[in-house]
Amino acid sequence: MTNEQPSSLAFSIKEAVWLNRGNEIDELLSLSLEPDVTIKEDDDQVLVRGSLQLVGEYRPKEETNAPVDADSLEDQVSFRSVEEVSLNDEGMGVIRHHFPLDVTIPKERINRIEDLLVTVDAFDYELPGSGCIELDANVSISGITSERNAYSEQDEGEDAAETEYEAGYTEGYQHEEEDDREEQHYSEAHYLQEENRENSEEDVKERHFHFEAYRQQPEPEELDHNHHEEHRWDGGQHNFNDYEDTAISAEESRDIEEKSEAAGNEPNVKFSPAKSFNSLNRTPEETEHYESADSDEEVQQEKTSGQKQEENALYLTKMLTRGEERFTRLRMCIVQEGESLETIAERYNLTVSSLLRMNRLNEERVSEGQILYLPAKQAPASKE
Amino acid sequence: MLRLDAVLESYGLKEGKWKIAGSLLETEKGLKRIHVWTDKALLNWHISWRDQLAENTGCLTDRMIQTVRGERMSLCDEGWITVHDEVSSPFSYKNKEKETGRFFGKYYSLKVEDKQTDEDHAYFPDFNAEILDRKAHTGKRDKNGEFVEAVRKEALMRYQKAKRLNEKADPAPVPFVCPVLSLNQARLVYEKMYWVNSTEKPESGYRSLSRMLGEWLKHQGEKSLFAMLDEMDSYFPLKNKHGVPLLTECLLPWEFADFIEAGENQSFGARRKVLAERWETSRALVKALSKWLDVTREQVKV
Repeated sequence: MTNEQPSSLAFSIKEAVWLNRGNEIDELLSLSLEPDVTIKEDDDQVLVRGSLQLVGEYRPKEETNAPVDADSLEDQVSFRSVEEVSLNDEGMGVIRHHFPLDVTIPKERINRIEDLLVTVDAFDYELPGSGCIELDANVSISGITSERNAYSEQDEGEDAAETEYEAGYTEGYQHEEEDDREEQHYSEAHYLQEENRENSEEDVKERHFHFEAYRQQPEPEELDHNHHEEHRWDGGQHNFNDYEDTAISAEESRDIEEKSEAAGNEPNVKFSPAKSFNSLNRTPEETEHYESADSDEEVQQEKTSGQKQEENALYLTKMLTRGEERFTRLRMCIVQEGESLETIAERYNLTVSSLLRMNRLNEERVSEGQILYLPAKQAPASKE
Repeated sequence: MLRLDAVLESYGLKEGKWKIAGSLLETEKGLKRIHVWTDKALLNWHISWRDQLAENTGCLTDRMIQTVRGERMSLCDEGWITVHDEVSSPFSYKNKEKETGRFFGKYYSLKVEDKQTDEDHAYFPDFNAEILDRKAHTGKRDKNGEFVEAVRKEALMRYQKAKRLNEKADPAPVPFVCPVLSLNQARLVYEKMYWVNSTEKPESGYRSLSRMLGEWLKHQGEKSLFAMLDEMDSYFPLKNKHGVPLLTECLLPWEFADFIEAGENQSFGARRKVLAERWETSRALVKALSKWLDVTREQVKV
C-alpha cells in the first residue's frame, strides 16, 4: 500500500560570521534570520532559490585603527564595505549577510507548489568574541510529499516537533521538549567542512552542516524496515586558502549532478556557508552542496496535513525585534539589566512557571545577557 | 571635420563612406578607425608602443596603417590622423587565463623608451590625501554628512594602511604603459586576440592594472584571476617585485576621492551608488590579491 504523506526537508546550519577588524561588536541589539526565496517550476523540478538573510543591529566598539602587523597580507589590508561603515541614525552598526540557498526538488514530490514553505525553525547565536557571531539555525522546507509504504498517517498535533539528531552540536532548546516527543532518526546527509584561514588561529573554524531528515512517531514495528544509512560527503574537507576550491567549480557541479542522478528523485540542496564580512559580494565561491539521503528516510511528516501557506517566506524568527508575533514559533529574549523572570513573563504575557519549564531553570534567578526561550503563544501563520 | 576624399587618397583607398563621421570609415578593405591626434609626441609614443607591443607579445594590435607614402600618420587641419583596422567581435576571456596572463605580463613589463630602465624605484601613487582630512568636510551634520564622515574614516584607514604597506615594499621598476581602460579592449579576429589600445597618455604606475584586475575578478571570478596572475607572474614578477606596490595602489581610496571631487554635479544618491559599487570592487580585489600573495608567500616558506 502506498500512502503519500506530507513531509519536511530539514537541515541545520552552524556557522560563524566574522566581522572585519575595526567593526567589532560592543553590544548586539538585534539579530534576525529570514528566508528570502523564490519558488518556481522548471520542467520536472521545483527550484527553491534565494537566501537566508541575516540582519541585525549592534553598537560598535570604539573605532580602533587596526595595526598592520598581522601575519597575512589579507589581514593587514582588509577594510569594510561602504554598507558596513554606514551607521544608522542612532549610531548603531548594521549587520547584513546572506547565505545563498539553492534547493531542487523533483516535482513528483510536491502536491501543490503553494504548499512549499521555507521556514527558519530555530535560530540562536553566540558571540565568542566581539568580532564573530556564531549562528545555529534549523531550516526546513515543508510541503514535500513522500511515498511511504504501509504507513498510516498520524496527526501528531502540537506535541510532535522536529528534532535534531546530530547530538554533537544540537543541544539546548532543540531538545527542550524532548520528554514530550518521540524522536526517530532515519537518515541524514552530513557534510562537514573545515575551513582553515591561514595565519590566523582564531580563524580556523570547523563547520558543521547538517542536512537531515526525520519524521515523527512512526509505527514502531515499521522502524526496522527503514535503512539507517548515513551519507557523508567525503569531499567536504576544504582548505579555505586553497583557491582551487573557492567556487562552485565545474567539477563540483558535475559531481552534484551525478550524485543527483544516482540519488534518483532526491531533493538537491546547495547551501553557501558564511564568510567573514570581508566576503560580502564575493563572486560565487565556496558554495557547499548538500544532497539528501534516501528519499523515504529524509522527510518529515507534517504535524498536520493539508496545511496551507499564505506567503512564501512565512516564517521569521527574530530576536529583540518587534516582528509580528503570528509568525513567531520560537522566540527568545536576552535578559537585560535589572530584569527578572517575573518582569519578562509579565511583558510577554506568560507565566513564570512556563519560562522555568521552557528554559529548564532550577531557580527563578536570571542574569543579564542570559538568553531565554519564550513559549510560543500561537502557531505560525503557515500552520494555521 | 575630416575630408573623406583626402583620407581615402592618403591611404590608397578607392571607396569609402563614414559609418561614424570623422571616426569610423567603411571601405573596400573593411572597417577603418580614424584617430585624430593633436600631440605629436604622444602620437610618436603610441606608434612605438604599438609596434613593440605587437613584437613582444605576438598579439595582433591596432597599429597605425601606413599611408601610400609609407608614413604612419597623415596631416589634417586638427593635427594628424592615424588609421587602424577596426575589429568589433568581442574576445572571450573564458578559459583563456594562460593566454591572457602571458599577454598582460608582457604588456606591463614592456619598455618602449630608452630612458626607461630596469632601475628599481620606491613607488607611491600620487594620491591627494588632503581629501581625507576631516577639515575638508564641514558639511551639514545631516544623514548625508554622517555617511560621508563614516566613509571618510574608513578611507583614511585605507590610506594609512597603504602607506604602511608601502614602507615595507621593495623598490621595483615602475610600469610605464598605455593605460588599459577596460577588458573590452580585447577583440577577436581569426580566433586570436586583437588588442585595441587607448589613445591616452602613457601611465606610470599600477592604476590601470588594478582597474583591469578588478574587472577580471568581477567577471571571471577569483579562481580565474589567480590562474591569470600565476601566468602573468612569469613575465611581470608580481610575487617578488610588483605585488606589494600593486596592492598599495588597490588599497588607496580612489573611489572616495572621486566621490568628493564629483561634488554637486551629480545627486548625492547617484554618487553614493557609484562609490559603493567601486568601493566594493576594490575591496574584493584587495582581498583576492592579498590572498593570492599570501598563498605565494606560504609556498615560498615551505
